[in-house]
This record gives sequence, C-alpha cells and structure tokens, in this order.
Amino acid sequence: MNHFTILVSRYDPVNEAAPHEARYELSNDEDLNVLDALRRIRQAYDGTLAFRESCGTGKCGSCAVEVDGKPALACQRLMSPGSHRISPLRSFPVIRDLTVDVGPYESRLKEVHPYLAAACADRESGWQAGVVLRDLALCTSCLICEAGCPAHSVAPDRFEGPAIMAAIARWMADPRDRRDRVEDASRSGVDSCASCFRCSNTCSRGIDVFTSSVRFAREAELSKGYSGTATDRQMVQTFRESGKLFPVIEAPLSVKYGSSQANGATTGVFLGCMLDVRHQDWGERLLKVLGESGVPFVVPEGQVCCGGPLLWKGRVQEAREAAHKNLEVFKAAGVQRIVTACPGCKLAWSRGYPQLLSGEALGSLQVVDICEIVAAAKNAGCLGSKTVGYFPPCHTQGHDGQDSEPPEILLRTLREVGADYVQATLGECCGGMAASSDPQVARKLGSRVIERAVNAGLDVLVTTCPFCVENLSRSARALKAPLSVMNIMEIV
Amino acid sequence: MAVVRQVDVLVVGSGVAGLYAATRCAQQGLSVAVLDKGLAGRSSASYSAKGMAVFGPWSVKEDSEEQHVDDTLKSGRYVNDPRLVEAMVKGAAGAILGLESMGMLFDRNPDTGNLALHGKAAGHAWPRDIGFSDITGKLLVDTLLSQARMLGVSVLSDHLALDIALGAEGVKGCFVLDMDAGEVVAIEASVVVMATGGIGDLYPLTSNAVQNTGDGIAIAMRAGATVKDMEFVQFYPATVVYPPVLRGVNTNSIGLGAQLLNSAKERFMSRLEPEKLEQVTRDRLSQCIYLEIMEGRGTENGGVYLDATSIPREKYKAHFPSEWRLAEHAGLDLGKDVVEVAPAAHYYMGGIEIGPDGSTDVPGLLALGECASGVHGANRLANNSLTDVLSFGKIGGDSAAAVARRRSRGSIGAREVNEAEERIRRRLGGSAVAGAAIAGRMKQQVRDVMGQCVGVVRDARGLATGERLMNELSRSASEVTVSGGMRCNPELLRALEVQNMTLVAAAIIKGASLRKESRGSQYRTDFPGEDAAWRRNIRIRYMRDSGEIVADAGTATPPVGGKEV
Repeated sequence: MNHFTILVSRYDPVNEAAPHEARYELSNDEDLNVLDALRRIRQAYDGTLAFRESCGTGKCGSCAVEVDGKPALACQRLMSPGSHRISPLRSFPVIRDLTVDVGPYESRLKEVHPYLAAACADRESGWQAGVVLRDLALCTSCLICEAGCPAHSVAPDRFEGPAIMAAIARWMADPRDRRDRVEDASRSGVDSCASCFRCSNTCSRGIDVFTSSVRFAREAELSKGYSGTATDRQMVQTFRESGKLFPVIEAPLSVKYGSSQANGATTGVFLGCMLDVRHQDWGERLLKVLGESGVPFVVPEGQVCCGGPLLWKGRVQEAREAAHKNLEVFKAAGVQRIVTACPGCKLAWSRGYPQLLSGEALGSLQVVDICEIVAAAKNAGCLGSKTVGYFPPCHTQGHDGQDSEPPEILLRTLREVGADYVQATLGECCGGMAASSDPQVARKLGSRVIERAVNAGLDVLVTTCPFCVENLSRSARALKAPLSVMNIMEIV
Repeated sequence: MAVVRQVDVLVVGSGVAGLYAATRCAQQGLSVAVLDKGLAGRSSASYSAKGMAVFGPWSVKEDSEEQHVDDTLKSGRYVNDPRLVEAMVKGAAGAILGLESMGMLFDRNPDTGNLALHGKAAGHAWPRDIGFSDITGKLLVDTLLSQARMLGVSVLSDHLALDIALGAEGVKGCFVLDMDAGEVVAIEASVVVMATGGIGDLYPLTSNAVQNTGDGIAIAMRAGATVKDMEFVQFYPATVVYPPVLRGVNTNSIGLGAQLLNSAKERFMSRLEPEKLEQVTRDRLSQCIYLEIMEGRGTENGGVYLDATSIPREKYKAHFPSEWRLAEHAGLDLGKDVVEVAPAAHYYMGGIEIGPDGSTDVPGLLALGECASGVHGANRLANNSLTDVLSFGKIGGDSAAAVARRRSRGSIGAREVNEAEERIRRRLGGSAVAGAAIAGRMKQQVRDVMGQCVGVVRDARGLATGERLMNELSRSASEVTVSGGMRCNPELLRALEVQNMTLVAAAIIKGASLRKESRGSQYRTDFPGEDAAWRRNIRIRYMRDSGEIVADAGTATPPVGGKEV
C-alpha cells in the first residue's frame, strides 16, 4: 500500500484574508490520480472542498489545477507516492479552494472576436480544414497553457498567452473568416512569446499549441509584409549572407576544422551558431572533449544555422533552406550520429526537421547532446567550494512539460570536487528566445530566474544551453547579482 | 435581500439543444439567459458526441427521410412518438444549414463538395453519419456557445436551477442558486426551456459528466409536468473502469475487432454468442458483459478485459483519433495495453413529455434534448442524439420565441424568493464533525442502488428492493443538512442534486417495475420477451401535495410509421 500526503490550498476569499494549506493523508495500491484524490479527500475529510470537475476523462477541460506547481488536468495527472501540493491555477481569482473564476479570461477572449467573422452563407466548395485548424479544433480552453506560460506570467500586458493565441489562430486558419486576425495577433503580443514550448508539451489534448498558434500567426504576420524588429531583421540578413545567425568575425570553427571526409567516423559534430561563431571557446572545448573521449568524429563542412530560431519566429522558408542544407551536409559525410552542445539545435533537428522536410527526413540519424556521451568533467575544480544550481533549459523539457534533471555528469562532477549542489525551482524559461523580438520580456524572465537563484543562495548557476547562458548572464549583470552563470561546456 | 432579474427566455443547460434554442431566440431580438451548474458548455453530454445521423443532399440515393424515421422507430421498438421522430428527421438538414456560417466545421467530400458520410452505423439502413472528425459534438457546442455570446446571450456558469416559479397561469420564471455569489436569485421569464441533458450520474459507472443528475426532469416533475418512458436507460457496453485516468471513456475498438476476455482470460462471447461473438447489438453486449461480471468472472475493478492489440495502431488511430490521443496522453498504448471495461449509463430515452414543438403540459415550460422523451422510444439509434438536439434546439428555440412573444412575463414576489432561499438555508447547519461528505455519500448510495437494482439486467425482486431502498434514501435526502455555507459549497450542491436524483430514480424504478416485458434497453430476466401488449408508454406524474408519484400505463397502440420488424 502506498502512502500519499496531499497538501491542498484552501481559501474562502469572502471570509479569509489569505489561503492556507490543509493536509490530508491517503493510501492507494498504485499511483493516484489527482481527481480521484480530491474526490476521496472530499468524501473522507471534508465535503465542502471545492474544485471543478465534469467529464473526468480529459475531454472537457474543466478540472485544471496545479500539482506541485505545474498546471495539469486533475483527471489526467497521476501522483507517485509521497507528498504533493495541489493549488488553484495561478493568475486567476479564486472563488473557493481550487475553483477559480475564468471570467477575466473570457473578457480578454471577447476582445479577439472568437467567432466566425464572415457574411457568407454556407460554403460548399469542398474545402478541407487544414492541419492547424484540425489541431486547434481540439482545444477545450482548459487554460493549463495559459497558467503555465512563462512570458504571460511575467508580462501579461505584453503577451496575452497561448490560449488567446490559439483562439486567434483558430479563426486565422479558417478560410471563411474575414477579420484581420494578424492585427489581433500582433496586438496580443505574438512576438513576445519566448518559444519555450511549454504550451505544446503540457496541452491536455496533445495540441502543438506553439506551432499551431504562435508560429502560425508569426508566419501570417510575415506573409502580410511585417518584417519583425530591427534585431530580427538583422538576424535574417546575417543568415542570408553567411548561413549563421550572428556576424562572422573569426572564421567559423566549422570552416577551420571542417571536412567533407568522415574517414570512418560515424559521429558528426553540429556546432550551431553559438559555438561556431559567437562563443568559439565553447566550441573549441566541445571538439577537445570529444577528441579526448576517444570518439572518432568529423565536423562536416558547410553546416549552417540549425534553423530553429528562424522557424520559431515564423521564417519557415529560411528554416527549411537551413534544414535542407544541414541534412545534405551530414548525409554526405555519412555519419550516423550527430553531437551538439545546444538544446535548441537538438530540438530543431529532432522536432523541427521532420515538420519542415518530412517525417522520415532524418532516417536513422540520431541527435544527442554532448552531456550524454562525455564521461567526466575535468575543469570543474573552480567549483570546489561553491554552492551550485542547475537551470533546466526549456528546450530540454520532456514531452510532458517536465523540466529536465541536471545531467548526470554535472552531479557526479560536483560531488567529486566537493561543491554544494542545491536543487532549487528557478522559474521556467530564461527568456533567451525572446531577446531579439521583445527584450523587455527576455529581461523580465531572466531576472526572475536570477532573483530566485540568488535567494536560493547560489554562487554559480550552470546550464547546458548557450542561449540561456547569454540571457541569464545579461540579467545577472543588470541586477548586479553576486552569482555567475556558466555553460557546462566551460567545465567539461 | 431578494434578487430578481428578468429575461424573455431562460434556458437551463448549455449543451447543443439549449444553446441552439438560445441563439434562435436571441436572433429574434429576445433577451436570453443560459444557465449551467458547471462551466458553460463543458458539462454537457453533447460535448463528447462523435457524429450525427442526418439525411440530406449528401445521402446515398436509396436513402430517404422515411427510411431514417423507420430505422429510428425500429430501434425504439415502436414506443417512440412518431410525430417527434418525424420532426427530428425532417428538421435535421435544416438545422445544420447555417451552422457553417457560425463557424462550424464539417468534413466534406473533396469531389462533390458535399458533407462527407463517415459510414454506416449499426441500425441505420444507409450511411448517414456526418460531422467533423470524432469531435462533432464538441465543435457544435463551441460554435453555438461563441454564437450565443456574440448575440449577447447571458451565459451563466456555476448557476444551479432550483425550481420553477409557478403562478396560476403556469411558468413565471425560475429560482436559481448563484453558487459563486452564494445567493438565491429569481429569474423572471416568459418561457423556461429545460435542456439539462441526461441522468448518467444516477449510475455508478457512466460516460456522462458528473453534472448529469437529471435536475431538469426533477424540476419539471415538481412543477407538475408529465414524464414518460422513464424505465429506458441506454447502457454503453464497453466503458473503461480501469485505469482510473480513462474511467468513463467509451471505447470504440470492438467495432474494429477488439476482443473481450473475462478474469480467466476466456473470450466469453464465444460461449455466449458463438456466431456473432462481440459483434452483437449494444444491448446484447451490455447484458453479456454485465452477467459475466455478476457471475463472478469480472476483474477486481469490476470489469472485463478489452483486448484491442490485434488492431493495427494506424487503423485505430485513423478511426478514433481523439480516443487514441486521450489514451496516449494517459500513458497508454492501445496497441499493447489492455484496459478493463463494463457497461455504463450512456443515454436516457425517458424524460419530460413534449409535443413536436417542445412544449410540455405546463404553460411556459419547454423541454428539449435528452431531458425530454418520446424521440427515441425504448432505445436510441446510434448517432441520433446530436440529430435530436440540433433539430429540437432549432424547433424549440423558434417555438420558445413565439411563446415568449405571446406570454407576458411572470412576476415573482420578494416573499417567494425569500421562501426559496429559506428552503436552501434549511439545508445548512449540518455538523462539520461528521465532516466527511454526508450528501456526497448519499449520492453514492443512490448510484449503487441504481446499479444493483435497476441496471442493465432487471427483475421484480431487484426492482422491489430498489424501490424500498430508494424510498429510504429519498426520505433522508429531504432531511439531510450539510456543513458549510451557500457559496461554492459542493456539499450543498450534492444535497440538492440527491433530492433530484431520488425523485427521478423513483420514477425509473416505477416504470421498470410496471413494464413487465423486455423492450429496447429494458431487459428483465423475469420477462425476457417483448410483448405486443406493452407497445405503450408509461406516464408518470409527481403529486405535489402527497409527494407520491403516480403512473399511468396507458393502452397498447398499433405501430405507426412503417412496418414493425
């Protein structure tokens, strides 16, 4: 028999000044479904415990709550034995206990005219609903994505959030609609989304919310002649000229060490713009540790930007060109495995390329992160007496929206050098992917992480994503935080 | 302080029938409010319906409205009201016209541009199933809800209808518990439309939402409306009981060749139905599974195993994409994992008696959709539930608008509101020491009695036990007091629901006991055959003064509309 301690947020806003937590004990043979747990608490302890429920099978989207700080449908979430905290969806007014008032969301929704705006009668031309429309038609407005959206939570005035975006895109994707939905999307802050994929990974109906709403709307913006911020334009211009997102000052490492001959190596290194041109010291380290680990590898020459940041900003054509080029180069080199040190690049390859090219584009090609193959970190001595934490990059999230655990190599190394590892919840999303389109959102997200890291007493914050390192370092400097942000590449 | 609001038309329930009626009234310039005790739209049965049977320009040339009527009557074992069946069948194509200009999506045949036929469901002579993917009901609700809001309909979530306010000339409005504010409100209206859906939550396992407690039927009964066909509860044969994350999900894989196994992993249908195996009618399948479980060969979770592993994943996914996604999201691979299923209360054929315009025998009260009776007789034909709610949503909406223009709005006095509020307040003050859910437990007791005594398989003894137990529960339900206050108190909500449930349950038991035959969804082991003398409807009324329910079993009628099969 397994034991569960459930801490439930109880609150009667009419008679109480603030919520309090009530503690309930339950037993069950196996993992416990959150909705079942709430029903059992109500039955055994207190019949007045308020929470929403309806179909109980994940179809209606009524029972969204937060489980251990993560928004989820109660009926769809299992809890493992131990202690768990159940609280109402954040950012909505509480009516009682776990029941929230969705009225404020409905008012915001009304602003984007969530209904067919057309004077036409039934259209019988045999049109078929496209992929985006089919995907978004599943949305139940359960608001899990809304509650879990990092950009919306720090800057609701700049980004209306994924649920509103999905509502806009649903009509944008409808060929019968005559309203200027692009304008709605722009006004609702579609450019301020930080492309963290949390909405897609947590959607209770499995909708790829980011792709079908934000990315789709960004594509539509561009097709209507919108050209993005100056930084965005610069980025695309640079890509057009050099195949990279950042200006090339020194020769890219992929040119310096590049080869078209694999000489029997089955591992190909994909450097990505960050390591190839912007932080070549990290790139050098990547190649060095790979060499030291005895893995025969090749740096296929001619590789370009992975295309991820372009794709997520709606620049599908450029992203597809990049995907084509990279795949051609790596296939020509005859490698079977691609190693990268950037979670964004890995995500572009594994999730973006099948969308951009075809489901089978990658064939048997595997994409792995350097942390998965390096055995030991040799330069971690500097962390010896430090208090160290790990920041999980969004692009390493699991498909269920769970943040990644620190790489085994990091934990082992910290133990070896005697550093003090602190497990802390640092906030989701550093904001890095919004830096070029909405610096304000990027700054707010970055500051939130840094503030929490400082409060957790960290001296060093380690992460595996070069974009996170950049944005978090920027925030740490701006806040004059007594903390340094490190890329794991600096210690391996 | 008495709160009184006014509308022309008050709709109770926000499924397709209620929302369609609301939009029709609003389009005609009337002020309309729609109530839902949960979140508007989401708690309706319509939300999970997959497709609908409609005869129209997309139909095969051999098909006709008459054939659809015949199929519906046959499935209903000829106790349907043929006027209602005709109204449904003939109104359906017209009811879906115009939905697309509200934003509804339909799968279309790319060659003809016509709506695509999804296939031929059991009991239909020809393919008539149209819709969008397997989320037709959800999209209808979304579409109509957005349209209602656009038209300025006041859509009120968390509002529980309590009782009709009655005057000498019929309906004056409705007393409503605003659960967010914790106060009783009187809404004066020229017309009240009941569209509260089914009663699945009267049973221990149901595919319906928890909100489906038969409130509208009970409220109409207390207002003096006649109800009929109360004994006819349709069970879905294979609804998930385990794992808990999918409990209540109707599985569809049997149609694709999935097999049923008992606790000894025996394919028991090869013993019970050696020829057709699992491919028997839904009713027969429900009976077989139910008996297998009752005879002790079920799983420990009270079901049987459903093994769909022989179906190619791609085929399953293509036929039932959202079912597949749901399972996938719950961490199950239906190509590999076996779930446990049992028959679940799925659809209710009984309910408030209506005429072809949705009117009841209480002036100013209309009833539409699943809470009304007569359309589906003793058993509903597959895919006819959305057809019903669309046709009657439109018909009923138009007739509600006409009645609203003709009838003057009632006036509810402050004293009446205070009395209604007092009736709720009397429910409060229960001991919090007992703490645990008193009303919640009673609700469970009602469900257990219904499952054991008035379930898939019935007999006189079980029904007599059911009647006795339900009487006791009904008495406790009328006396129970709960802890907590008026505002957002699930115990109070349950106490009020249980009162409605026991009234509806009593009428179901009454009808099931009186009907000494098996017909459609009613299967009695003591009267296993269909009896022509019982081709009639049992009507039931609630006597307000005595609190008794009185049944009238009527007389047998010759079959109407087509040859009896």
